[in-house]
Amino acid sequence: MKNNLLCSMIICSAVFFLTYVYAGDMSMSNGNKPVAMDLGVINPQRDFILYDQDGKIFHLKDHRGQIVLLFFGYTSCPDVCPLALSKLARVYTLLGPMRQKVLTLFVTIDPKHDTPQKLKEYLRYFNINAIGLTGTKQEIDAVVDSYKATYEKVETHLSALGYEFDHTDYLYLIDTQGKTSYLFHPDDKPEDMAQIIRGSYHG
Amino acid sequence: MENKGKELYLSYGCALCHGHNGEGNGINSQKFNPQPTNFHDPKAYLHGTDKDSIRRSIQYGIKENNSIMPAFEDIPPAELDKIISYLQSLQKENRKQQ
Repeated sequence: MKNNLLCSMIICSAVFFLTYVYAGDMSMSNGNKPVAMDLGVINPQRDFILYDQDGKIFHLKDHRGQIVLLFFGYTSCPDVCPLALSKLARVYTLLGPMRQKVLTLFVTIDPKHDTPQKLKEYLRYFNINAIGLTGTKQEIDAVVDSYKATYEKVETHLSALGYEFDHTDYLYLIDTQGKTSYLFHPDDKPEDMAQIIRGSYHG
Repeated sequence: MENKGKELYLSYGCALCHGHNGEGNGINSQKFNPQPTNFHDPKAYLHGTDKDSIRRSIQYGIKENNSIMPAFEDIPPAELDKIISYLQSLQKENRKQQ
């Protein structure tokens, strides 16, 4: 009897733990510790400094008053990044004239390969209002960690570069006050995203 | 219709891999193996050149033959039709030149 009760408690605890871990859409931070990918845990600094696609220093805080959409990716990404940016092209179409008030930041996780010129050329392929950002690996990792994003380099023969990156593909909405106020998931529909962006704008 | 189709093709970033004129020679094309489809060549269409086959390829992606074409699910149907018409026009362009 006591053994059955103990087994039941162990099973219930395991189910509870697994539900808590996976229902919260957990991902691994760079420190290999699971963190919940929801806004309650993300509390990034309201400023960071990187370098833009023209080689100029970029301060996030200089863009108060705009909606900023932040994405971590790389120009050789075969799927996740083109899909995300293609979806954003649809979002920007839906935003109409408001598109000028919404700035997308594409922060490269492959600074060695993604020169400022490559970033600039890459982002021209999508009908969005975007700036590419880069820096040293340490500078970029500091921003990646701040937003609890992750990435990992993986060797593969499917890419002529010999590698790809597995990386998180969330899109962070930073409002006009500089606060990260929403987290878009890859499955979110452009129509819903445009509505949320419109609702977040307080000009 | 074809001009609008090309405009949409470009705005959604298709040219990144498939090239500005759909020849499979976008700036990212050299990074992938196999290389992206050249839309001028009917034989290069892995699932067929009819409207429905092209629509399925775009909406659901292609994973056969080591292809990594992702699924572009969010292009509205009316816009997707225009893109498909544009791609089919490239096949006609290819036939005229032969």
